[in-house]
Amino acid sequence: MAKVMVLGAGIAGHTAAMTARRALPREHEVVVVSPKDAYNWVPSNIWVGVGRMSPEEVLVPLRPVYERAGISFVMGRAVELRPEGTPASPRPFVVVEAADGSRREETYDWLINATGPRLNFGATPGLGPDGETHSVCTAEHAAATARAFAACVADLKKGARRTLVVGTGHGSCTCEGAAFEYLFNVEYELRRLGARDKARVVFLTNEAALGDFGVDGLRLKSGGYVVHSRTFAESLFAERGVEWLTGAHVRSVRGGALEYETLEGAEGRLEFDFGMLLPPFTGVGLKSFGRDGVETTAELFAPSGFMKVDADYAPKPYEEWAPADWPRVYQSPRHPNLFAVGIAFAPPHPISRPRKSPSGTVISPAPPRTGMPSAVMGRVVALNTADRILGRETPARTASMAELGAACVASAGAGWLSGTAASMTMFPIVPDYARWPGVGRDLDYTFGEIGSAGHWIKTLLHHMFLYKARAQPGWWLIPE
Amino acid sequence: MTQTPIQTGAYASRPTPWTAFLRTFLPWQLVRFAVINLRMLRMLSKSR
Ligand SMILES: Cc1cc2nc3c(=O)[nH]c(=O)nc-3n(C[C@H](O)[C@H](O)[C@H](O)COP(=O)(O)OP(=O)(O)OC[C@H]3O[C@@H](n4cnc5c(N)ncnc54)[C@H](O)[C@@H]3O)c2cc1C
Repeated sequence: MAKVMVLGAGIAGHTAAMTARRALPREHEVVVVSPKDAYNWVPSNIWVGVGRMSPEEVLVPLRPVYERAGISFVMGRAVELRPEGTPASPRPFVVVEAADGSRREETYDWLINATGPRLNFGATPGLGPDGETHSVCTAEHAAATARAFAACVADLKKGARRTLVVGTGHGSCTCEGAAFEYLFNVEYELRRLGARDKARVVFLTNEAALGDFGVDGLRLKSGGYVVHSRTFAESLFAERGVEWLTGAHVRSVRGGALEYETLEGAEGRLEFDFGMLLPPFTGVGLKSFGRDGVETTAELFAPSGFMKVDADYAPKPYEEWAPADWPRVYQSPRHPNLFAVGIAFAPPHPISRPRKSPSGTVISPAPPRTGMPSAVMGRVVALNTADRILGRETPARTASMAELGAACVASAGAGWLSGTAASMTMFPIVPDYARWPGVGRDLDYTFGEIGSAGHWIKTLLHHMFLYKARAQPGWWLIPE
Repeated sequence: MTQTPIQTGAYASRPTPWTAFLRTFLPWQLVRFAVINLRMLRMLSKSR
């Protein structure tokens, strides 16, 4: 009998656990460890953040799902990995901390780390819900953000002028697509609620150009040209009357204003009344120890706190980055029974060209690991693990971001007939400029357009993925 | 301290009124709904 343990019940971890459970006979155990007993469909948090959905609509209670599926659930936060056990027992285990601070050891045979990000608001003084800005990274944050947004709308309707700033709260942030979506939902709601005329809406981003999205942008066929997504993004901003500041790092937020520096070396201050700025991400702070109790965190994890897997981490200049640098099976080079998927794995380097300000501040997006590839990684690692447990000699399935495509639907306003969203596909996620010179991706599989159809697809995905998360009949037929 | 001008889109491209109209024109969007779904499925099948 084997015990497969999954740390985290987000998009990657929940997919891994459900897939492993389905692939393995019942004599094998599947255990999920997570500090929260609800699954959050994070992409819909942007709608919670403008008050169009309640937190309950984006959360799925996990205990009944796991009970039905035959998955054990341990509520707590993994804090230590002991992949070699102790001198007394070689069986690997994880130290799990409960909400009351008590700790227990949970043994495993196979471990899938899908702990996602730590929201590092502390990187920028004054950033985040404990400071002066809001967040939509969790359903709870988004609900609080919606209340602040409603108060701002009420002031605008009374005739007050208000500045709303949305974007990234640090030069090293990722998830620019989420900030973009929240921005245009805010702008759409202001119009819908008759509060747009007195509102100044500003987007502040660490992207060197709009439409970069942390993936070096997309090049799309349009009107006989190959056009960078920057053109389409700027067009949307101009059309919707949104101002923007690119290549910006927020140094601090205090007294109702943020101070920033830019890639050009300029410095500035922007006063605002309502701000939603995403934090940079780090790993969740897992530590690891060898059998003798000596700490091995620096060998198992990158300095960012994300777990090292089968990637090429040798530092190299942008010109030498290659698709082969990206991991394929998400296996720890030190422990063959240890994997990291979703945001938890350490990428070998960014995807967008790295940039610094004249003062040396890194101002460029960290590589996004969006929902679709995160779930594909979770499924692939779970299936490979099941094969090994069942003694199958099949070659390992792979899920390299340099070989996978992604579909993204970025909402620009939630309304059946007046709402829109930008639907995009790209192949591959990590551009290969040697194979597709100048464009980096296959133009036949990379496209984008904006319209109501995108909003319908985004809404459909919301319902499909919640159905899948609840493990309702035929859930496995829904692709990631 | 140099102040960076926040950009306002003076040099940005803009959709023609026809393009903007089609974005929320129901019959056209029903067609696009089918097309986008097919393109996404095609991309998915290439990824597998
Ligand atoms: C606002 C927002 C909007 C987004 N919109 C989109 C979108 O439209 N499309 C898209 O593709 N992607 C989107 N993304 C990105 C997407 O949400 C991520 O790709 C996805 O959530 C990553 O999945 P994950 O499982 O790696 O991490 P998460 O979903 O963050 O899950 C991590 C899990 O680990 C648990 N955990 C944390 N610490 C521990 C610990 N110490 N021990 C055990 N468990 C732990 C957490 O409680 C959670 O259950 C968005 C992200 C944000 C923030």
